[in-house]
Amino acid sequence: MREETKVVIRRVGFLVVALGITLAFMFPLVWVVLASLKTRLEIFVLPPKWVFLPTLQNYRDILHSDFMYQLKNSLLVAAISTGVSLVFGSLTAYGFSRYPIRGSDNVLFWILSLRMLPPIAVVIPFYLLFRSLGLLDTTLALVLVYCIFNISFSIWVLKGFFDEIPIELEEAAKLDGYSPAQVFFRVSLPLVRPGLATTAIFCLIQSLNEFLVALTLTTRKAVTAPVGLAKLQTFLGTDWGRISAAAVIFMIPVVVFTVFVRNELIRGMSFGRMR
Amino acid sequence: MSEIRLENVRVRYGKNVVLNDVSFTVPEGSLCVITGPSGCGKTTVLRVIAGLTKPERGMVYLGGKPALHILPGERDVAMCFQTFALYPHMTVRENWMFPLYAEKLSPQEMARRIEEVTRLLHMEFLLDRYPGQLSGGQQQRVALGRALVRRPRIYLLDEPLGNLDAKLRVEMRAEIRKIQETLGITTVYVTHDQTEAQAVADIMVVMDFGEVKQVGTPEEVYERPENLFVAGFIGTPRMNFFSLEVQENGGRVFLVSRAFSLPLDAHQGALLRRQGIPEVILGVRPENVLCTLQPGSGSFPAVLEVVEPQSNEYILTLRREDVTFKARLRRDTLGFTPEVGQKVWVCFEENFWHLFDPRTERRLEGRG
Amino acid sequence: MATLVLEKLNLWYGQHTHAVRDVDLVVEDGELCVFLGPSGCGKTSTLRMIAGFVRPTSGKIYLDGQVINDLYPGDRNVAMIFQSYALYPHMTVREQLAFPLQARRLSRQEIAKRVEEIAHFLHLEDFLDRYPQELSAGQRQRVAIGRALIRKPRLFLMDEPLSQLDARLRVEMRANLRKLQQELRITTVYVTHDQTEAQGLADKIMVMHQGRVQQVGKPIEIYENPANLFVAGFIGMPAMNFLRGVLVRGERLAFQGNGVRLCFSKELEGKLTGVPQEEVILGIRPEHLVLAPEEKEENTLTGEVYVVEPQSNEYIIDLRVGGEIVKVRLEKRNLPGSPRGGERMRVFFEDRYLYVFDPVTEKRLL
Repeated sequence: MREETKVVIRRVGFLVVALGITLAFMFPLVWVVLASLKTRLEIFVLPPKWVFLPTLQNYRDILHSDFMYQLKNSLLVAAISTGVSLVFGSLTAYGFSRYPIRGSDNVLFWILSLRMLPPIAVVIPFYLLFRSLGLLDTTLALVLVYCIFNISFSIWVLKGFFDEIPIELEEAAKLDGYSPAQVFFRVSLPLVRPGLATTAIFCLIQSLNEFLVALTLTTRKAVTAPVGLAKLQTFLGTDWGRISAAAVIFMIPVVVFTVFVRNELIRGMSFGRMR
Repeated sequence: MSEIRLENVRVRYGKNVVLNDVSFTVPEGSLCVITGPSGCGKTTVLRVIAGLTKPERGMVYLGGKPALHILPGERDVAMCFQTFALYPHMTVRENWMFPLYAEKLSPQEMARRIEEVTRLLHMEFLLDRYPGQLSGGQQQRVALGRALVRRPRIYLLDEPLGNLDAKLRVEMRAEIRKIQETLGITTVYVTHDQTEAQAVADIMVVMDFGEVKQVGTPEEVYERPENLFVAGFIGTPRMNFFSLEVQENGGRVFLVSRAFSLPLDAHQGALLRRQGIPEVILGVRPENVLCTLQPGSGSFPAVLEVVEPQSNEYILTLRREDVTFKARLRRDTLGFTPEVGQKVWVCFEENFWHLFDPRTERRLEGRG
Repeated sequence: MATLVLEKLNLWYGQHTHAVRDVDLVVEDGELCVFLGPSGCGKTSTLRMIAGFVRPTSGKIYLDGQVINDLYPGDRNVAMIFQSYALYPHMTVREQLAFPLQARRLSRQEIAKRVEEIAHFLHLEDFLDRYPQELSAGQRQRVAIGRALIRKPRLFLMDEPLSQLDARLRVEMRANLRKLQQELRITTVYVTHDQTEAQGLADKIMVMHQGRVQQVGKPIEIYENPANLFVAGFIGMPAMNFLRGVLVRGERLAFQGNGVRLCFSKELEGKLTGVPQEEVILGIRPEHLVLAPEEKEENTLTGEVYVVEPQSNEYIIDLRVGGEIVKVRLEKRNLPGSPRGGERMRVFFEDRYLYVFDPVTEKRLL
């Protein structure tokens, strides 16, 4: 009996501690969600009010503001650049993994080094480039820039996944009468699904969060959500309630997508061991 | 001083009973081989002796003294791991010196030991290489050498030949046998390969599912297997088993199935009659199945299904009705060239019948 | 149904590695030919050229009289069983079996029918909807066989298909494979490094070493008449005993080796006189040595028992003869008792069981 009580106490203690740590890490998130449901006055009450009458006014305001348009821009840019990166990334990675390419190590390093460029170093050249092309303030410009970063990233991640596929699987399919392209689509690509999911998530998050390039290359038409969010801070003051509501809405697509590919993602993170 | 004795050792990992009631004795100076299929618990026995795994119940005696409380480092045991466990940043020589430094030997003694082991393992030209530069077989020999340079009370070897090719394995096992005989150090040797087990062992311990199935010399284990498991595990190709009914006819006892009917001699017949066993399993090793082109006494016809030449022998797969079985025969004494589809007459050599009780799977006393 | 011919086949990897050298071979229709040799001998490279994964540097591969050097692997109508089985982890057994047929654009009904047939043939009916990860090693092997068989290929290629099984299952599956191949009569090329397997399975063995063909022949031929030192040492377990030394031509011809002196029977002496060389390597198989009667002198080795290894119904005995170790395989029933270390033992061999090799060219002299 006493043993059992001890066990129960230990378990409860563990849960309390775990809950405490979780809350500490979740605090900013919780604060944002709560703030988005408060009125302007309630947000700044000290000590903070934990029990209050929630209001959806902030969300109503946001839904009728420019932010929804900017969010649409963001999603569009992110989706297109992610899609393009996956297509080019997987094809290129497969090539590097399966065919002898002279100096492939150097080429691969050069590709990765693109990813390592600090954005601030290239943002001015990009601005001048796109200005002369007449592409300033277009989603196309953003898609192009994000692809540069994302393709290099996906080549690197996906090459690792392709390397793990035993070559015999592809040889077997060739003997069975499939052309190299069919082998790629029917055998190799399905086997790197976890890798595709992992890559997609990272590309998506990267493109959605990108701020500096978006800020420089856009003015009105192609403004993305992070830039829009920042612009809600005006010199007339900051409407924290509306910013919070916008932030919550902004989080939703990533959360939904992550839940969607959760299983693949877990396998991908453990670096997709076959078998 | 270095006899090993296990008494009723039981080991559990969580809910899995890995060793159940394991008892056996390894006399001082002898080479004991633990064999069995993978997952039978043989490596765990080694770990228990080394002190790396603590049994839940039972006792381990080393040199007659209880040893459970002695730490692995103080048991004076050298172990050769299946996974090599070589230090990648040391050359072969340094890998071998490493355990000797701990023993504080004189430099001359160290050099002498290393030279000895080098010669034994044919590593003359490889002493200054790093493990990464060696083939799997060579790495294995380095691992073995690291155990051999020491002169402990007990050697524990876990599949020491597992990664060598067949030819080298046959050569090395004779070497190990000789080294152990010369040094006279009590050795426990684990292998899944029953061929290897028979070849090197003074005593064999055959295990299955965490239990000891038989302890004995290689000859005993091969000639008088105590149960169905041991009978099937030792020997290759494996022993043929036939489920047969016991019937009496005119005072004689016959073993009967749809395929054939075999008369038993008076002694064994009496034995079965006395015990009142309605069914038996007859085991006959392929090397005790005889084939001729002419019928003889006690023989029955069968059809040749597969012919496999093997050095100076044939391994034949034969079929009678729905029963298939194998025969292993010397080519020079067979007297004909076997062909697939051919009809031959088969008989089971007298004195090499193994009878088992199908309910207990234990050996019934009798011939063999 | 096909005949495979290799003609002066060569393969270079880069400038320095000559992996396959001048390989000539004919595999008759319905025959099972084993490529045998140690790792790195070129057997797998040869197989990969037949499959079409690598292109020969020179030479021709004929299948049914047609040169297939430049044919895409899928157009050769050749099936292969890989060492790892190469089952697709993302397909069920049913999908794996159907996969090769889909490439041939067969109708859905036809595919379903053939899958049922093959599953029945290989006893895979109950596993059709499982993934390979959920199957045992033996079942996976059957799926791999099924995937190869379902296309009714002209040629079957197998790359060490038994190496993933444990020793016992390997012996059983070997006989099953042999039976299956004999029933179907599909021309088969089988690669292995295991000479036991090769002897048991083959109609014809091609022994390879360092990229070269050493000998081609039936298993028994290769065992009884090895062409050179390499083949003699590679076939048979335990390996053939080799004694280096010189033939001394005195009043009676004798062999003088490392502490070994051996005189021969009259007939053998006659044959040995024809050997021009002085330095020779003698070869005697462990299973060809038997206990010698006391008075016997010719063809007899005397030694001291060094190591005794029981092995089923036999003993393998290492005999120390002069400075050499000679392995002897004796049946237990032919021995008075279990031999002890240090005991004196005399063994002899029949005339026809002595092999003589040239130590320089390594060719067989007798």
